[in-house]
Amino acid sequence: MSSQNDLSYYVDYPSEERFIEYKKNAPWRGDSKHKIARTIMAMSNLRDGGWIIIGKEQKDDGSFDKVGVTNGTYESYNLDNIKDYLFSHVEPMIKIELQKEEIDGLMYVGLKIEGLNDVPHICKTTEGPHLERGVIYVRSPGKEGCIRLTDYKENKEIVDICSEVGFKQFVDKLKISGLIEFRELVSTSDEEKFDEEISDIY
Amino acid sequence: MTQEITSDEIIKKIQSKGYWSVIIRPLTYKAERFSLSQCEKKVIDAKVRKRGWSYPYITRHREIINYIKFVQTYVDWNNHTELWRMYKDGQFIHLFSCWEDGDEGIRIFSPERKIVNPGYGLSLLMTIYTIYEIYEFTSRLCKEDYEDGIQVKIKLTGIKDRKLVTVDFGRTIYEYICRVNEIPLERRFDYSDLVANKKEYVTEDVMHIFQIFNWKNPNKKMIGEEFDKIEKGLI
Repeated sequence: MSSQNDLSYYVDYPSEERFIEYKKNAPWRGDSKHKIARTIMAMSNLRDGGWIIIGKEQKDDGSFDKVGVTNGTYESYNLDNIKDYLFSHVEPMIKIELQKEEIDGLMYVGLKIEGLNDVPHICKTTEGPHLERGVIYVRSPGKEGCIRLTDYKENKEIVDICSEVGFKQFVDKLKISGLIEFRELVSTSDEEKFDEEISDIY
Repeated sequence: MTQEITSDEIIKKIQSKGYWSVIIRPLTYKAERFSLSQCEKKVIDAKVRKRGWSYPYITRHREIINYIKFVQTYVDWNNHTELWRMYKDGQFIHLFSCWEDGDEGIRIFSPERKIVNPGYGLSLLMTIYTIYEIYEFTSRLCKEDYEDGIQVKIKLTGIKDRKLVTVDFGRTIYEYICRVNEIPLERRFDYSDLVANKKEYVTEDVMHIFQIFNWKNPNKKMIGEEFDKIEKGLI
């Protein structure tokens, strides 16, 4: 049984989402590589990251067929190459995982992208028509694909996520330093859950 | 032993007189920390039997019953009326009536050696042994799977105007009377803290109870000696 950490789960998933993008047979080279890199950057600016699945084709009715990829596309994906490319094109570095698998006789490639940490990921190198230096790419709800960060709502979401992550890191530092005893930071909601379940007799 | 009494009736009976309530729980809530069968096994394996009656009581005559989120059993026999539950999230709760308030009316040997009614007293020795059993049980129950820390809450309820008494003919204690209805105690610790400091925790909690009974300077040495006796199985 596949889990949400597995490529096969997303191959079976019925539709694209803000955090899932499907591509037909896009190799890691040329123009295709730039488009995928842009999608990686946009996914990395979501709170929980996302997946790019290569080997699914959109039909006219909007649904997706499992079509697999060619040998050439399959072999073009190499994690070291992908990381090297991202290192030279985006800051800060994006954490990414590559999964390649044959499922029911067809080959698929999956890229699992980790989400936003404390600062947004920014494209630092212009290349072709799809990657522009200084741009923050985002996956905007209600719009197709990836866009530049342009309007207030998208900007606020990124700022909110970064603030939340930054605050959590601040609290973690306090715990490690010993300035605050960890037990005081135990969520009262845990205690409330325990109290609630025994409220019939206590 | 009463066969017909329900768990609701047991709880009402326990709470109608003096009683202890004990809660042992992890610091982090995880709904499915254990299965129901693991809950039962953990309590059975952890029970403490240093006196004639185990802590908590696990009867041969009534099953441990599975509910959706916990296992439970209870007993109502002679001087022992108690109910306990072990939840799948690792929380354990135990309600038990004060031994001193048994159905038959306990004969507590005051200096005058009179028969007294329920609500008269709280036994000095029984208090030490009960607190010991609670912490010993905790150390066994939480030996594994409680790495995120442990909270223990102990509460004595229905004790206003009781005297601290002894059934030990060799001891004489003055009139120490409690003027509050409840004494709550609470601790949070790691398992390793408990193992290292069990005697200290027991002693401090017992001393606190005795102080609320207005024994301003309880005999710490005596408490320590009784701890050692029960720990070694010499009672």
